[in-house]
Amino acid sequence: MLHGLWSRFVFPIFVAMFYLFLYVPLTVLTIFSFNANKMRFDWMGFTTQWYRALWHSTEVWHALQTSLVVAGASVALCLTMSSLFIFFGSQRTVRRMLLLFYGNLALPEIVLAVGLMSLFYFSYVPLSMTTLIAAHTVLGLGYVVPIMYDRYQELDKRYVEASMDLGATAWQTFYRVVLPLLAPSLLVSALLVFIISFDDFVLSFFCASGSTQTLPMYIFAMIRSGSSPIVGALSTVLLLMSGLVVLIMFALPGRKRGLW
Amino acid sequence: MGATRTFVRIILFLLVGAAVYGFLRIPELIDRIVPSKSINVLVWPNVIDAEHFESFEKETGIKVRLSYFENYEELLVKMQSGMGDYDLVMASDYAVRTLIASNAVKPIDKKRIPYFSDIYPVLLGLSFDPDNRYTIPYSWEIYGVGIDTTYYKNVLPDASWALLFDEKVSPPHVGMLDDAREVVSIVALYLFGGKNKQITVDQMKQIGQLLRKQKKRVAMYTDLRTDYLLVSQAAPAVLGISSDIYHAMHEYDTIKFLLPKEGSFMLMDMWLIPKETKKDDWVYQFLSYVYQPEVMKNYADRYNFFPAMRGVTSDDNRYFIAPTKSLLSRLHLFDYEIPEQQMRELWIALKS
Amino acid sequence: MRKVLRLFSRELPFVSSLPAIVWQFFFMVAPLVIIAYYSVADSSSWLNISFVHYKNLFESTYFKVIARSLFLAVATAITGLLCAYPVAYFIALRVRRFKNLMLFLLTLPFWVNFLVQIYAWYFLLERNGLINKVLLRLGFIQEPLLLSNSLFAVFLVMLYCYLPFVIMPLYSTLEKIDHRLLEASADLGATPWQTFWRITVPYSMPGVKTGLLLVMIPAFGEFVIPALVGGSKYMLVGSLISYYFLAARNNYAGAAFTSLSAMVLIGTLLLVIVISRLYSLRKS
Repeated sequence: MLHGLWSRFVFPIFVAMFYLFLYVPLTVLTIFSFNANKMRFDWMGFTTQWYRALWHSTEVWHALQTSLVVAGASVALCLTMSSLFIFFGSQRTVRRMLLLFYGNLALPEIVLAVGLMSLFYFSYVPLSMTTLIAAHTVLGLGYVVPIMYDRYQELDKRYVEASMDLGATAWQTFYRVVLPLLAPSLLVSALLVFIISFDDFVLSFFCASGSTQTLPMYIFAMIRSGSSPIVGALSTVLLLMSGLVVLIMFALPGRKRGLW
Repeated sequence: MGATRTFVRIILFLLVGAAVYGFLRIPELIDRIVPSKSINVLVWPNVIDAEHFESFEKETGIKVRLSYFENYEELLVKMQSGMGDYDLVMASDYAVRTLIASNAVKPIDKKRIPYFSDIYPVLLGLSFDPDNRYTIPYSWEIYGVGIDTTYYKNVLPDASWALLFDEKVSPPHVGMLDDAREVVSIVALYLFGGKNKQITVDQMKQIGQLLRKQKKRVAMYTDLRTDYLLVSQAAPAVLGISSDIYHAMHEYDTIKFLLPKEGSFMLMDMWLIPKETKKDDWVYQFLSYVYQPEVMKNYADRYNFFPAMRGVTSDDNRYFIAPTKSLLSRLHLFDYEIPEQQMRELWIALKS
Repeated sequence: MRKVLRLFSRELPFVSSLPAIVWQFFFMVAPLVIIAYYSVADSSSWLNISFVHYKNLFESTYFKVIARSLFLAVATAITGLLCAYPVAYFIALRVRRFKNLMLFLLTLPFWVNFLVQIYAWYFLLERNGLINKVLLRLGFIQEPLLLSNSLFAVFLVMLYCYLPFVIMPLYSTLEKIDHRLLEASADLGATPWQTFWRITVPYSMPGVKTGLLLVMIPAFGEFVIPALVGGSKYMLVGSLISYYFLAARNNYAGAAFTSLSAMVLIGTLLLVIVISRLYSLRKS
C-alpha cells in the first residue's frame, strides 16, 4: 500500500535528511575549530591552540563577564517584576494590562532596538550597562509574563483561598503556597530569560555603550573582521554549553508539561 | 475618597517612574561618587586594544577603559553630545577638522610628550592641524589595491584603480570597501583627478553609474574582510587598506599591495584630548606608555598599521613603507566636500 | 502617620503591578512613540510636524528594499513550514521508541546562539568550504560555486536559523491532537490521506499560524544575516534601518523608514488574517 511506502521509506529518509541539515554545519564547525589553518578552510592539522588562545584572551573573559552580569540582572529584575505583577497585582489590572506584554512578538527586534536608542538619545540618557539591562529586561518580560500568567491561571485557586481562610497574609500565602507550586515554572522562566539575554545580539548592538561588550557582540565583531579562529573555538564551547542546558531541561522531572 | 486614592496612586506612579529612571543612570552616579583612578579612551577598532595594558595598570594604578566607535559620525555624536565623558580620543582626517573647529579639544602640552621628536616629520603639519597643536600622530595607513599574484600568473599588473573599475582590465570578481565616503572619494579621484576638492551633483551621478556597473563584479562590500577575500581566492583584486592587506601578505607570499599610479588616500590616526577632561596627568602618562617602542611594536604587529614613530621595528619588515615626502605627495586625505544627501541616496540605491 | 501608611498599604496590589507596567511603558511603548515622533518631526523645532521624511521614501529604491525583505520573510516561513511539517508529523504521530532522543536533537539547535549558527555556515558556503570541496571532488562542478555573499546564502542561512521557530509550535500542536480522533476516522473508513487532510491539518492550524508568525516577523527585520553572509550587497529592511541609525546617523529619516516598514509588515499580516477569516467564514 502506498501508505506503507511512505511510512517506511520516504518519511524516514526525509526526516534523516532534515536532521542532517540541522547538524552538518554544527559538526563541521566543531571539527574545524581544531584546524591549524589560520585563514583558509583547508585542513592543516589538528591543534588545540585556538582553545588555549581563547583561554588567555582578556577580551573574551571581559565580554563573558559582561554577558553574565547583564543576563543575571535581567533575570532578577524580570522575575521580580513579573511575580509582583501576577501574584500580588489585582487580577483585574493584570487581565486588562496583559495585552501590553505581547508587544514583544509583534514587531521585529530591530524596531525596538532603534526605538530604545532614540529614546535614550532623546532623553539624554547615556548608553551604559544599565540601558542594556533595561532593554533585555523588557524583552524578557514579554516572555515571562504570558507564561507565568498561564501557569498561575492553571493553579488550583482553592489552595490560595484555603490559605487565606486559614489566616495567612498575602506574603505568607505567596511564600508557602504559590511559590513552591510554581517553582518549576519560575525556574524555567529564569532559564529562558537568562538564555535570551545571554544570546541576544540585536538589542545589545544598538543599546550598549562603546565599552560594554557582550559575548555575542564580540563574536559578531570578530566574524565581521574575518579574523581569528578563536571564534571557532568559542563557538564550539558555546555549542557544548547549549547542549548541556538542553540535556538538563530534558532531564528535569515533569517534562510532560514542558515549555511548549 | 476617590480623589485621595488617585492622588496616592499618582505619587506611587511617579516614585516608580523615578526609580526606573534612576536605575538607568546608576553607572554615571557611581562614576561621580566613587572617583576611580581611570581614564576613558575612545578609539576605533583595529588600532589598539586592552591586551597590553596590564603592565601600565600595574605600574601606575590607572585603569584604562576603552570604548570603540565604528565611523566618524558616531565619534562626532559621542563627542559633541557630551555623552560619555572621554579623556582621550583617537580620530583621523575630517573628524579632526570638525573637532578642532567646534572647539571640542584642548591643545597638547608639547613639553609633556618628549617622544614627539621621534615622529616622522613628514607626517606632521598636515592641513587639518598645521602646527599639530591638538594632535599627536599615532599610526597611518594607505588605501590601495591588494592582488593575488597566482591569478595574475606572477606578473604584476599595472598599478591602477582601473583594476577595480575598468571592465577591460578588471577581473570578474573584486572586493570593495563598505564605506560610502571612502568609496565615493576614491572613484572621484579615479574619474576626475584629485585637483578639485568639491564634488558636484553631476559628478555624483557619474560616480553612481560607475559603481552600479561595477556591482555585478563585486564579490563583497566589506570594511574589514578584504584580506580574507584575497586569501580565500574569492577575488583576485580588492580595494583595501594597507593594514588589512598586509595582514594577508605576512601569511601568504602570493598577496601583494599595489599603490595606484593615479594617487591614493591615506588615513592618519591621531590622539586628541577633549577639552573638558581633568585627568590630563593620567592621559599623558598613558600616552608615554603607548609610545614606548616595544608597546607600539606589539600593536603594529598585531594590526599591521604603519607606526608614526620612528624606531619601531616589527618582526616582519619585508614590506615596510617609510613615509617620505615623495610618497605623501601622491596621497590625499579624505577631505573632499561631498554632498551628504546625494551620497546617502547613492549608497542606498547601490545596495538595493 | 499610621493613616498614611494604611492608605499606602491598601494600594499594595496597585504598587505590585506598577513596576512591570511602568517598565513596559518606558521601554516598549515609549520607544515606539519616539520613533513615530521622529518620523514626523521637523529638525528645526520640536513642535512642527512634517511629512517630508515620508515623502522622501516614496521612491522605488525603498519599496524595493521593503518588498525584498517581505518576499524573503515569506519565502523563509513557507519553506520552513514545508520542511518542518513532515518532520513534526513524523515525530509526533509516527515515532514511538526514540521519541525523546529525536526531540532532544531537534531542540538543541534552537538553543545554540544564532551567531554560532551563522558562523558554522561559513565553513560550508565559502569558496574553499566543504560544499565546494565535495562537489569538486565528486566531479559535479569544475569551478567552485559562488555560494556565499549572495541572496541565496542569505535565504539558506535564514531558513536554518528560523527552522526551530516553526517546528516547535507545530510539533507542540500536533502532539496534542487526540489520537482517538485519528483512530475514529480510520475506523469510519477514511484513507490515511483523507484522515490527514480532514483531521490532522485543520487541528494543526494554530501551530502553523504561530510558526509562520514567529518566523515572518523577525525575519522581516533581520539584518545580521545579510551583513555576514550577504556580502553587504543587498540592503534589506534591517540593514537599511541599521545604516540610517548607525552609519548615516540620521534619526529622522531612519525613524520614517522604520515606521513605514513596520506599517507595511503589520498591514500585510492584517491582510492575511482578514483574508483567512473571510475564507473560513465562507466555508462555514
